[in-house]
Amino acid sequence: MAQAGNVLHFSGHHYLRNRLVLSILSGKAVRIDKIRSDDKNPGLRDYEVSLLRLLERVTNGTVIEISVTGTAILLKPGIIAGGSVTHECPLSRSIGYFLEPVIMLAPFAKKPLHLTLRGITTDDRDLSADLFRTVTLPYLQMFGISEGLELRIKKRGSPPLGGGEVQFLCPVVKQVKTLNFVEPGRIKRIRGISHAVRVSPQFSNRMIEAARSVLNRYIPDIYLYSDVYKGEDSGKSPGYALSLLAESSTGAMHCAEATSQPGVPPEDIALLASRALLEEIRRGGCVDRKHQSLVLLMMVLGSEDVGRCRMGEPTARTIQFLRDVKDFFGTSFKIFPADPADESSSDLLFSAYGVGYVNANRSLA
Amino acid sequence: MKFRPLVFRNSHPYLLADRFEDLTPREEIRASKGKCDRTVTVYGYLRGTNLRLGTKVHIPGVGDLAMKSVTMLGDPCPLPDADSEKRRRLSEKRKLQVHAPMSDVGGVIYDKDAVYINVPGSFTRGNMDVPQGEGEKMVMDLQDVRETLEDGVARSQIKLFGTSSKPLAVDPGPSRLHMDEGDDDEDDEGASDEEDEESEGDFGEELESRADEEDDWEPDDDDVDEEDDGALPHDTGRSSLREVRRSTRPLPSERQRREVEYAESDSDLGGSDDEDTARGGSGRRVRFGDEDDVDIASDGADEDEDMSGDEEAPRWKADLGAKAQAAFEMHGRRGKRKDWTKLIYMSSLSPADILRDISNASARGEQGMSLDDEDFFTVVSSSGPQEQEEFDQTKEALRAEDLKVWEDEEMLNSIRSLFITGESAEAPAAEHGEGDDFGGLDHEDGSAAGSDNEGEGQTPADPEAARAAALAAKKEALKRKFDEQYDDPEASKLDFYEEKKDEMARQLQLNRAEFEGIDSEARALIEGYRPGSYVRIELADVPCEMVENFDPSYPIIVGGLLPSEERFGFVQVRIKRHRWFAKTLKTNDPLIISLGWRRFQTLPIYSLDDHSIRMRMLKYTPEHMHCYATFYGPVALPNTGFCAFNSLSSSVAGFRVSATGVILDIDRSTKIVKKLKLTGVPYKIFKNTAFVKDMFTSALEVAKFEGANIRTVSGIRGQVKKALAKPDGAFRATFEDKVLMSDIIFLRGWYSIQPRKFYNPVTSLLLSHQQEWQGMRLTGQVRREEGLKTPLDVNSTYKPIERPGRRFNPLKVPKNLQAALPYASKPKIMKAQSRQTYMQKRAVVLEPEEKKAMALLQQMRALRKDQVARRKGKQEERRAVHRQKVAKEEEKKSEKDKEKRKEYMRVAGVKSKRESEREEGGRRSKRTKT
Repeated sequence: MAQAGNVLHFSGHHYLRNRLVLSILSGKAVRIDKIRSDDKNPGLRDYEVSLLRLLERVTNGTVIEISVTGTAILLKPGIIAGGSVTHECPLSRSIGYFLEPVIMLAPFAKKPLHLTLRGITTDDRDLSADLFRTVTLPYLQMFGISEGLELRIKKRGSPPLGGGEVQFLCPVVKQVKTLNFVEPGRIKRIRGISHAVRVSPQFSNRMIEAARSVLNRYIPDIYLYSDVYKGEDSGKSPGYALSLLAESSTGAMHCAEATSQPGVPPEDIALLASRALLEEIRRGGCVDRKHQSLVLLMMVLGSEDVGRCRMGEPTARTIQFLRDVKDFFGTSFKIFPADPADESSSDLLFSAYGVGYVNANRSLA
Repeated sequence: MKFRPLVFRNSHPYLLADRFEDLTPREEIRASKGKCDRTVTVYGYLRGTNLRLGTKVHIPGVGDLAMKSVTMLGDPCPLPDADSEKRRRLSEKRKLQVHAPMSDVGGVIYDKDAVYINVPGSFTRGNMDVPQGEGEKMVMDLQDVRETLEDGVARSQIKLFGTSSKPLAVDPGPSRLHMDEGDDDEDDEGASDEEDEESEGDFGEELESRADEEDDWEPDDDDVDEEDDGALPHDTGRSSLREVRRSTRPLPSERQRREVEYAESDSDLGGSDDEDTARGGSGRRVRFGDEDDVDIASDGADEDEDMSGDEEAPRWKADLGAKAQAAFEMHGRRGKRKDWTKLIYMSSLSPADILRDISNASARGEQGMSLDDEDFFTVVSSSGPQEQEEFDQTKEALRAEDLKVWEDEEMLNSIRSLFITGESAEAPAAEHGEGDDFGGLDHEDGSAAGSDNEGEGQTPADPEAARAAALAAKKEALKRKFDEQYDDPEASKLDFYEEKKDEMARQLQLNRAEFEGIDSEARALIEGYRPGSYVRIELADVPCEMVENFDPSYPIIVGGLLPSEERFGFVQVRIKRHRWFAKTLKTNDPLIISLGWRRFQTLPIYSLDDHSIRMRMLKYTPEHMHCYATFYGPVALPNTGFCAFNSLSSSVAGFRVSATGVILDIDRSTKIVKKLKLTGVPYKIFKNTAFVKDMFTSALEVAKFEGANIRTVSGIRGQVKKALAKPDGAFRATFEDKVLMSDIIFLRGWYSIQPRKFYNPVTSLLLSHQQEWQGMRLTGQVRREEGLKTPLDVNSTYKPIERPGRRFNPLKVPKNLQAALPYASKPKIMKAQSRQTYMQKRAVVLEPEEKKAMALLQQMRALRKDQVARRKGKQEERRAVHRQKVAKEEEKKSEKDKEKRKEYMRVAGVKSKRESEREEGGRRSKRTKT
């Protein structure tokens, strides 16, 4: 039970997911108001309500109060229960929107999480299921969450009708290891998955060809897989996408992806994806920009040691996330240039002292 | 004895208080007649782990308290070092420094930065025996003021002119508010300016300066002299304490105002670097671990977002870009680099603004990207109703035009150095990417960025040597690798233990390196106060009873809580009644549990795992066995041990610890069930089917139990089928055999129960006698103590049970069947004899002779009987004598036997002894011979 004085206040609908996750992890109640209060259509969106419902399912004893107008919510977190959960995601957001906060919670659950999500697997707003499998999960593995960590893409679903299904399996840990990752290394391999559902399977091959035309100049170790789902498994709408991943010699990863747009040939989509990947690589650091907050959160939750990580410039999301982390856990990062002598480098070294978060939910018996 | 590490103590900070002071303003205490919550400081040596700010502490016997501040003080009795050992005697200064735990030094109060001496002066109240003059009385009366001047003016009815209709009024509200707003704006402006100027400022340094400002804890000689003066008998020490509060803790608003002033001057002076700016900045930054400042910062952020909803942008935001541009130009290339720590944590800029600032300032050729950022984020700040909504999304939208730069060949080539295949053009010889422009460090040599840069610095000076060194290093590494693999591939692999040890050592080294240049104050903010340091903890909102009933002879422990331990929930534990505790424990009886720092009374429910299917409630704890218990209370980490008491009073006879156990699980709900038997009776019986009533009251209930297993008392099993229409709650059930009308049918069900949410902390330190604490009592205990009688319910009284005798119908075998049965199986039912038999009805008449003979025979028989009886008695007498004799003989015999045996054993013993001696002697003699 959260005490009355223990409630943190936030305003606005931005960064809702991060705040909810931090609240559940830290056990501090959170009150978020002014959610689109000036909007023509005020209050929570359907996907946000769906997210709250998912969080309620994954946890036990969570109390969520939504005001009549939907412009304010109060979340009194319970414990993270885990177990087998199935959730239908609304078609307004893809599965990535829901998976992202759950991935932050799942390692600290009581029982291993077995989550089935149905909806859109790839869209242009959130990380696709492919990137989760190839990039996000390896990041978690760096923190000692590895045994039994799996994401299965059962069916693919493209917008607007979706129809995809993924299964996310996550083990529970007692405590995450801290991270000491300051060597970005150099890119040694590039992998990619191009998929095309309910369109000609030739599309994915065309994307691969186009992507190779850009990337081949750098490195010979490029494997781009063509992933074709047929029949029932291919969802309800046509679509195709290319997700790329560059891995460095020290295990740093950069990823990018592009999804099909009406009236754009697959070659252009592939070029977009590969150029975005180059942009990511150029930004440097050991951690991809899309995963900055995940890595920083795990560093905060790590054992009571100094964790260090080299990253590119933080995104706006990351900046707000750092501030929220300070509010919830009281931990602030020391951020300084990774190599002060080098003027052109914009890499930053994030170092923090972990709070020694121990999974109190895990039962002994 | 197995060594068991005390996990709890190794994972929590704690402190045994050796000093305790009440810092509450005396005025507040006076106004509330001593009933207000107090502010209290405790002092002591930290133990366990690092104590971090922002967590709560628990004082056993008081409760959870918030730490207002923690200050590290000098060790009051430091370990002897080489210097002090040399001297072998205390210096004059040291002699006066007293460390006397929990004792009153008499009118002298040390605080972290000052020493206060209470001098009962002439204006002290309550000093009535001294005759007072007019002036003194007036000064003393001044202390009696109950309201401020402002209130007085507000109440007064002063009219400016005689004709005025309204008296003069004081309205401080609006003007004050206005001031605050202005301050806020100024503050923000100042902050943004500061950021631009202090580009490379390390907050560690600033903290240092702050630490220097703070006075040492040690008193200097002047104070000590005064102490001698002040060692007069003191009564309250109030005046000095009041001073303490005012001098050390400025009110938050006051502090803020001061900061604002600095900031104001800063912006007025146009960014000239003077002393004030630095001070203001440091004052602001030092407290970044402080709750207050966090609030301020976040408030600011919130305000920004709120304001963003308004049509017009806030004033400070208006020409932010221009300002940043100006600042950038002024500082040139040096000022490019942002102090991210400060921007993120110490400014109220919105994330978008921070980024935009960066992208404006950065001299990189990424026009496209920065433009993208700007466009992208203006949506946030202006958020006009017609504009598209910004989603909470992870991926940023890809824009083909932004990525157009990658069509340029030069651009594509510029990042070649980031791939393992690409070599940088400037230093083709350095094979490991040394001198690589982008800090492309090779993974194989585990050198840190710093060392690499050093190498880089040397390169121009002596490129040949550097190249040679690099080559040598590489060769060395390769050789080592080859040796390891070739010689013994197994030996190179460390075992698990070594590996872990190495890992820990590496992490430890890293931690040490990280905190190397930082002073202890800044370090405490990050990693907390280390065990072994002497600290002063200021606690807010302490119950006044603790201060009033403070007993210095009773220990006060301040235990740090982990963040997860501040929550409440249902705690499942494995528990075992202590084998020395005489009584069994009953479910839902209050139990006092000592768990971690906390002691509390709660109502446990005992349970056992029933075939891993369900948790079955137990009414009592089992004998000599563990069972589970579930109670509502504060959460503790699994694997924490605890012990339980039924009563804490010292007068209880026998062993007080009633149970011990360990925490297993934390949850917000429980799954304990108890057995529930529903009974019914058949009212109509067919072959294998029966209609059952009185089990349920409605068809709905039956529907819920369709398919449930039922059973009769005689053991016939069956199933609930379907509800019947007619009597409410009746149902059709099938059985494996025909049931009897007399059978009772029951359904075994499970009813889930929740422990009661009762949590009663033991607040023994708030009582004048610590032993007196009494929790919730049992009903019986209350009745006994109050002298009440147990209320008797009429329905609960025992009455003789009247059971009507059962009537059994005779078994009737039909005639036809009887005829067909073999004789052995035929029921042998005979009619009762209705006529008398011959033997019954004959009459016997004796002749006189016969009569005489009969009488004689009878007499002889009587005589014989008597004779036999007498003979038997005599024989018994003889036998008794004989038995005695035999017993005596037996005794003698046994004695003899014993004697004999004793003798034999003695002889045997002597013999064996002699033998052994001989053997020994022989050996010895042999030995002497040889």
